[in-house]
Amino acid sequence: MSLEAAPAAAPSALATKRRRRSVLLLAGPALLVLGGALLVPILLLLLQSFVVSLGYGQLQYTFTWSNYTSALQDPVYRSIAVRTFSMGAITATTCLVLGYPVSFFITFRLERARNLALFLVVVSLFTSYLVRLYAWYTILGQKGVINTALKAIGVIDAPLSFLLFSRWAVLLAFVNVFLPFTILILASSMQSIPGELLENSRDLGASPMQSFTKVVLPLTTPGLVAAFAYTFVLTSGDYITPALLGGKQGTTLATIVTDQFIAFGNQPGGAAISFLMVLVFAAVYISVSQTRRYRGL
Amino acid sequence: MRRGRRSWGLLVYSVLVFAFLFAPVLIVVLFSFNRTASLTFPFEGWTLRWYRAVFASPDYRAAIAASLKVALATVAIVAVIGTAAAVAVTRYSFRGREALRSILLIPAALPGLFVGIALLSLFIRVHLDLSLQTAALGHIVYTLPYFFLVASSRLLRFDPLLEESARDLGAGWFTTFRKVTMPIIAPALIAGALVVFSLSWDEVLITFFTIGSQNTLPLVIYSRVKQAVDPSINAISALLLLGSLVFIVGIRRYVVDLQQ
Amino acid sequence: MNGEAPSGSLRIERVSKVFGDIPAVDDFSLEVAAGEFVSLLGPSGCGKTTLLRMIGGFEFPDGGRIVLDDVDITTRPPNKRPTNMVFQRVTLFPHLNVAENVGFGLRIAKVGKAEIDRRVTEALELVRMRGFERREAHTLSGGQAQRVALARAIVNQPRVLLFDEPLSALDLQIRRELQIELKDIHRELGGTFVYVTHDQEEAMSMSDRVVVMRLGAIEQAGTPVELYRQPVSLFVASFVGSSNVIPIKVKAVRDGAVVVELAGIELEVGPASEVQPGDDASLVLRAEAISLEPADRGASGLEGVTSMRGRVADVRFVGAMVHYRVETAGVRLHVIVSSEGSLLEEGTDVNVSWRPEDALVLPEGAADVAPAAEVGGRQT
Repeated sequence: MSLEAAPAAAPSALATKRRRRSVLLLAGPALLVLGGALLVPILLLLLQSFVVSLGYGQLQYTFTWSNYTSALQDPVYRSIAVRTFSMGAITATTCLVLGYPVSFFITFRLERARNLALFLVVVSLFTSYLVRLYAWYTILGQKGVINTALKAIGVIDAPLSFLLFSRWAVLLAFVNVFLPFTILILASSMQSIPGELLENSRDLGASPMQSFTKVVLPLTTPGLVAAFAYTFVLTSGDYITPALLGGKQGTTLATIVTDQFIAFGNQPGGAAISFLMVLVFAAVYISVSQTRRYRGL
Repeated sequence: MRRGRRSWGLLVYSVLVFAFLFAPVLIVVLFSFNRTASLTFPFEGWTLRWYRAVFASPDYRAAIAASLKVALATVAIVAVIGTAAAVAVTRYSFRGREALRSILLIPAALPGLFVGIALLSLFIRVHLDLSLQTAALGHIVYTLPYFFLVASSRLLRFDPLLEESARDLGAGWFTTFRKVTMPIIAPALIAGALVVFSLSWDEVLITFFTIGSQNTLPLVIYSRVKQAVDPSINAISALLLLGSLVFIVGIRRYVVDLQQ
Repeated sequence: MNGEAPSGSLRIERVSKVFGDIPAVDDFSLEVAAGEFVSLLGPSGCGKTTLLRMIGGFEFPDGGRIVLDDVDITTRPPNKRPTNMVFQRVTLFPHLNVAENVGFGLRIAKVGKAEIDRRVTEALELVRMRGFERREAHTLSGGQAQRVALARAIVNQPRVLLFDEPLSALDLQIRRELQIELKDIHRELGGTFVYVTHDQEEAMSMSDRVVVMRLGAIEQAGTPVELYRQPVSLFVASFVGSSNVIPIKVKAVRDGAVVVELAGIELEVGPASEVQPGDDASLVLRAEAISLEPADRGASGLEGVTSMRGRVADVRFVGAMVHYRVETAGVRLHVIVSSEGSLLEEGTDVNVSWRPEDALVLPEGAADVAPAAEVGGRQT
């Protein structure tokens, strides 16, 4: 680097060039990995979804809408889609309803114990997903904890068979997994409300209930909506839980996609259904980001 | 903070919710010590035989080894490229920064299903055999956003003047990073690494799509559960749990750093 | 290290830097002699910090050169410049203790351990932080931390020491203490100090020369006395010291003095400058140059003193001094008087007087006044 000669370019331009090189070097690998292993394949899948499938991995490269139209028109797929998304919505709503009071309690009623409580929630997040699923076998099974307990008390004679392998089991398991997420998102949203706002509200004459509905609730709307979206998307796309706990009613869109890919080698078909799901998810995420502050009840 | 009588109701409710959150896991661990295969309580005896069965089983042992290999490889790679990407996004301003940040976070917003099928179709197209390595790639894609979040959030709270001071005192870029930045953000990076390990150790769906003939631990459990209820699953689940709880031991020390 | 002739002479040649469309530093040139204590003084946004950072290597100019001891260092990164900076915030490395912090630069330069220990001790001695070697850096108070930061910079024997408002985050008392100590240290070390501040009292009390900056360019550069007594513009006059600025219309220029009509009376207000009868001008009166007498003592009638009637509107007692606000001739004057003697009460009619040669007549309008001048970090 010549120092004595008058610089041909402005020193700041040199610095900018150096900076660009650094950014490329630093962000490059991650970008490469995600670009190559995620974005590009997704793009390819998108392209493939418009191609004719001849079954068992064979493709005929002519453009077609048929993968999408057959998916949308198939009554079985449609009912499964309804089932999948409604389960997603029910789960998300249940988590919100169950989780909100807990988040409220942690944020506004705990002081020294708050960090510990949040930590415990985080811990429950990281307890293995699979293990928690399997646990429901032990709890809901015919010889499981609930049944044996109920039998012991004498409430029932024969074990309840509908507990496991049903939509209820799936809902229970989903809620168990996603409740911690919801609690954390809501708590974080509540924590960003400055305490002074509530004091101010009381100072101006609002009762505790009014402070809640007019201050806390509206200000936590972003958190509510985010938690709902996140839970909805991840549960709608979940394969494992319905497969393990759903029994005969355990077929979801995810199951169909997986079957198309693995069992039938029908990538275009599977891809089409996947992208239709992505459209729904994108719609949900977009409406989340469009949420304006709810102006209070 | 006033504690009105109202709060007792909330307290009880919250405790119940916490119980609900932890009960399943505790039950599994509990039953892993049950002498018989029954699911009744109280136990007829306590035993470690299921654990012994697990360690004696070559299938389980191979699965544990496979999970470890994949998890460690994932942690190593994600830690390096994730930290580098976090530095790029937080320290420099450049066109496309926000786009890069969004791209880095996408895998966390998508169900694992899509990551799985995307990767599978990629491997099919390039005629790459499925193996532990391809599974690791899936894990890397899946866990990168989480590490990136932890690393970049820590870096954002790191005063850039500290780095300028180091440069002022004669340190080049790498020396600055090594002697000043790293020691200070290390706790957060370790926490991130533990998160990645935990996520990888537990991952099922993406692995299902991207792994070859071998099995990782969660996959073994998954297939066994579908076949029959067998108490050794409790034991192996407890081990699975142990792995994903590994981060807690470490995290407690770094939890201050994690607090945003 | 060539320990030869005194080093640390700085030449800033036509340096400019633009952020977006805004020129932060505009064709700036300055020569700093080796061993000088120069302050860059100005309101926020005047470019002083940007300039300092370009000297230190943390920003790079869009044009111009920076030459240190006849070597062009414009494009060198900070670690390759013989300069060291004390930053505005505490930038001690929190994971190291005091001694490790101070010795950081020496360790990078691969100085021997014994030598490092010796120099670290010396530096800590200079900033009066001996005994703190093992303290963890994050346990220090603000004042202590900045002392250590200073030691950390000094210990590398830089040819130019740069200061980016290092005391602005500290309490007043500590700030005053450190200002005095800094001046002592400069005397002992003899190095070149370039000091950025917005506190004019700070700049004036410590520097050999003060450079008043405005919108990226030099408004006036000179010794503190020059700036105080002969400000070249209203901006400097109102930024340095507490000045009253009274808009006037020049009536006549007689015998080397400017004559105006104020409150219906013809007064000789100040020495003649380049103003013509009929001009709009500004009368600059230092707050300390005005004296007040209760009006019922009769007009002073002394020769060579300009006097007007006024009324005390506000009294502020701050210890050694009293600050009065006096309404007179349609303006409110800020007057600072020693607190010895009796205090005037609000509402008292007074004679306001000054010697014309203590005032200044500048040919500008009031629009050029600097943002409210700060005295001792507080706005008056």
